[in-house]
Amino acid sequence: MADIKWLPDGQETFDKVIAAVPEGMRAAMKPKLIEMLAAKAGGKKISRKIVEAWVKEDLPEPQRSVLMAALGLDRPAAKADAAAVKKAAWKVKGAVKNAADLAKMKAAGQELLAPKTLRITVSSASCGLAKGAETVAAALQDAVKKQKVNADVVLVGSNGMSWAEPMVSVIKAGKPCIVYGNVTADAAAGIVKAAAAGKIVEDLALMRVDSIKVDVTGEKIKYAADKAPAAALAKVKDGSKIDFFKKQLKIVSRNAGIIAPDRIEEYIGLGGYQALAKALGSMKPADVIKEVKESKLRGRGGAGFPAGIKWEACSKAAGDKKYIVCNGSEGDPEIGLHKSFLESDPHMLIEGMLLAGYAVGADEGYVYLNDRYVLAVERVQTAIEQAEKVGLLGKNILGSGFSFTLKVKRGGGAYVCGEETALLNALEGSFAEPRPRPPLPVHQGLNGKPTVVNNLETLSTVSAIVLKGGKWFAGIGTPASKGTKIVALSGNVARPCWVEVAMGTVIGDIITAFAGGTASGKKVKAFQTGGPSGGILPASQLKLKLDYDALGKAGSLLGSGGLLVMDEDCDVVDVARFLTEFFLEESCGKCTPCREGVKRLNEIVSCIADGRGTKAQLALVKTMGEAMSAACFCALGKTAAAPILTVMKHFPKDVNGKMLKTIN
Amino acid sequence: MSDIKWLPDGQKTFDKLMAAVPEAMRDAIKPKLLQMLAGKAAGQPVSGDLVKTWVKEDLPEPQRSALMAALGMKPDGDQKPAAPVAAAAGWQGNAEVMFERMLQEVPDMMREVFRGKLMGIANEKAKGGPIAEDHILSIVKEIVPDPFKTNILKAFATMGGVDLSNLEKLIESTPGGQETVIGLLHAVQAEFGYCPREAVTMISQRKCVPMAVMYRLLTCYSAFRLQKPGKHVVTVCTSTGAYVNGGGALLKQIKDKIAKTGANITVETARDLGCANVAPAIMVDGEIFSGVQAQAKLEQIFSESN
Repeated sequence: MADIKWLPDGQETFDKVIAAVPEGMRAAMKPKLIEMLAAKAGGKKISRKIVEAWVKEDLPEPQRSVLMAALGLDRPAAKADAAAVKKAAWKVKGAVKNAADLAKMKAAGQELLAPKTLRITVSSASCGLAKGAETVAAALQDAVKKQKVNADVVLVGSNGMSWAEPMVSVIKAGKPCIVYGNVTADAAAGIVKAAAAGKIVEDLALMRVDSIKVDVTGEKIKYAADKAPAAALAKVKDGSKIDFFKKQLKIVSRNAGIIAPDRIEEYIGLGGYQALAKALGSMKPADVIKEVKESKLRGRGGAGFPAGIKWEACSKAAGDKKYIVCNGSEGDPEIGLHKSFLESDPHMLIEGMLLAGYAVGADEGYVYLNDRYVLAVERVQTAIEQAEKVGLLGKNILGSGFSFTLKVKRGGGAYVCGEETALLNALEGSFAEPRPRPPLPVHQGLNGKPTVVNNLETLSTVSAIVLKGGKWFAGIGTPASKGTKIVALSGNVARPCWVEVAMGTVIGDIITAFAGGTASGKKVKAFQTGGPSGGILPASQLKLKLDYDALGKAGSLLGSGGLLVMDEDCDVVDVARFLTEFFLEESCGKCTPCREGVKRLNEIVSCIADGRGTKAQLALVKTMGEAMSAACFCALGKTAAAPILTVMKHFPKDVNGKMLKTIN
Repeated sequence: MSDIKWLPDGQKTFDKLMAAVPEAMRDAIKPKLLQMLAGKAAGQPVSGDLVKTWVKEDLPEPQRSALMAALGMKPDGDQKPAAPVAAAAGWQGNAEVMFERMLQEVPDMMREVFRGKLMGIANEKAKGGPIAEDHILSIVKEIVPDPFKTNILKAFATMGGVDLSNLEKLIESTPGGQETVIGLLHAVQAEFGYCPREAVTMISQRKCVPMAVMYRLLTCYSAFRLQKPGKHVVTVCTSTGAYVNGGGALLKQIKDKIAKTGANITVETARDLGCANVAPAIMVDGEIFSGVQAQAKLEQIFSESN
């Protein structure tokens, strides 16, 4: 020990290390640790830095993590900074009382989006945060401070490339935006340094973006001049030319991943609230309904009911108090696309709800969100507060005399709340159980008043329709399904992601173009659309188009847009068992066919999945499926047998393999 | 050190004494104390009484009082005549429990010294009569410095069970009837980690919703817990996407590790974390992690909960 020379801070840090060692071992460990440390120091005086580097580089796991935490080296320190990034809440300046104010704020927003100084964005929707976006943001903030760079580090949403999270974009007016993928906290300092010098970190760069669309009308913000890219850029792909973006048609999700969800100016900068200004300024409520009807927009939640017809019915219903309710319950166990979307661009939904309110004559709205969507609730709440502050929510909006208030409600967690009447019950503080209909919610909904309940993607689509016209929207898609749909790809795919494509896109193409096929590289065996209620379809059906009717005919449904991919190794019968188990957990128990049916169905399917199936059981499943689809009260029970029935239909070999050999 | 001969009770007493020395100094101080003690014993075997005498006669203040207290010796009158050790004339209500709770904030080695002092003040306040809850409360408010004061007051508030003061305020500022209940329950769970009966009863009474309905709401929605969870709550995503990608194995890994280490961690599953695109994901105390981050976070909470 004599050969060690301490600096005061080194001694102090080492004491901390020793204090973190369990007491019983402390005395025994100490000489060993000192010996290691002395070797590391190589005769130099031991400073805090040496001790920290030694812990970080030389110690084995798990001791390393524990000691790093004890010294405040790892996450805890970064976390504090990340909290600071969050806490520096954005303060909205100014008010929007008329169209001129809106134009002014639009200019301010564009200045934020393409500033003369540096703007560094970190994609931090839930999927980014799960992969460490918060730590990356903190590291960037830290690097900006240390390198004395004038830069705005902004938390934005997700652009759909979930496999590349966390993503960082570097933006400066006059230069193309550079997007980096799979960024770690260690890379942050390098990115800031390169950005400040106008250079690029080539190995991390995913793509470059030369311009962004301001709104659906075709206006653009150009980051770079039109000349050929500089030599340094030649290796970085042009974002608009890579398949992932080229094959998408972004209408609803066009802002996601670009704007900060907590800055209303940025939403307005990209053409936000223009549709509202147009509707309030020059359209009657009936005109708005006419446009939505003309667009042939159908509900994006599952059933696909035409939104315009729903709105018209509600506007004609008698009553002076009406409500708009956004169904964001999305309890599907497969997706989370609406959550990602909402965490990225909450104002799009607010504008859609305002338009719906204006069209049907409602002055109050609720956004109902799944209980797990804590971050989405937070971001929508912030967005509502900002809209209230500038005057886009509240009384006499844009001087038109139209008033609307909006509240966000966090649910308690029940899949059946995706059913609109069960959702209304939940909003009233009652049990998650569907109500008998009629009366339809448009006649007697929330608190017995006429209510429009729409999925949040449906509502978010409305602003584009109002701005560019129903005819334009109806020109996209197939005869039965118009416009675009957000689709979330999950399961065994190489690159999980969510994308927005035109209706009518072939499902097989979606899987290959965006998700890069299966993760295992094997062939696709089966896929499922529309969440647990959708059928499990075989690879031969991959040529199906994204279309309400086509999928319905094939025994599945479009649902809210989940697309689950299973490769050749997947045991589809076991997946069907997993899904019946889900229905067993989620059945509310109101009606007997569902309550007893899912229980029995789960028993039988589990038995088959375990390899003890009999032919009599298969026959019984068929009968039960028919009975449940005829007799159950709501769609949950009606479709509970769909997964096992489609597996029996399309994968007879798999099912036969599960039959008991002795009695069949 | 070899020249010390211990009698069993002597060794025990000395160990007790060492335990009262602050941890950081223990190793450094031990040889010195042994040396002193050996001098005192002068070759005789060291008994418990000898250790006590040595502490009383040879050690300097304030270590002397502290160690005497640690050994359960009565503070001597001649040292601090002002410190009365008289017992209370009696206790009213929770006063005695509150008094003990207040003393818990005092570091171990000083506690007995403080006990005497504070008891004296309490007796003074009670003017010879039984000590009431209010007397203890006023001692805390007037004499005890922060942060101890805040800690003690907070502890007092939950003494009867659950501190419902926040909920009470929230209910007052939330107009409306049954439609507000789910939001209130979320707030309760955020504060306590579960929905304690006392809180549910309060909501039931104030919002005029029968307890039977409250129970049905709590059980029909999956978000609410009726039991107090462990130090950390890990929610494992069991979406179909995660299932296909082997989410079941992750759940098993976590459950096995808890069974093995006995860590104070509650495991739940959720079908709808909404992060199937980064599946399998986990939620730890409300924050979502996936892949490498998830493993690192698990490592961290396991090391904290052991």
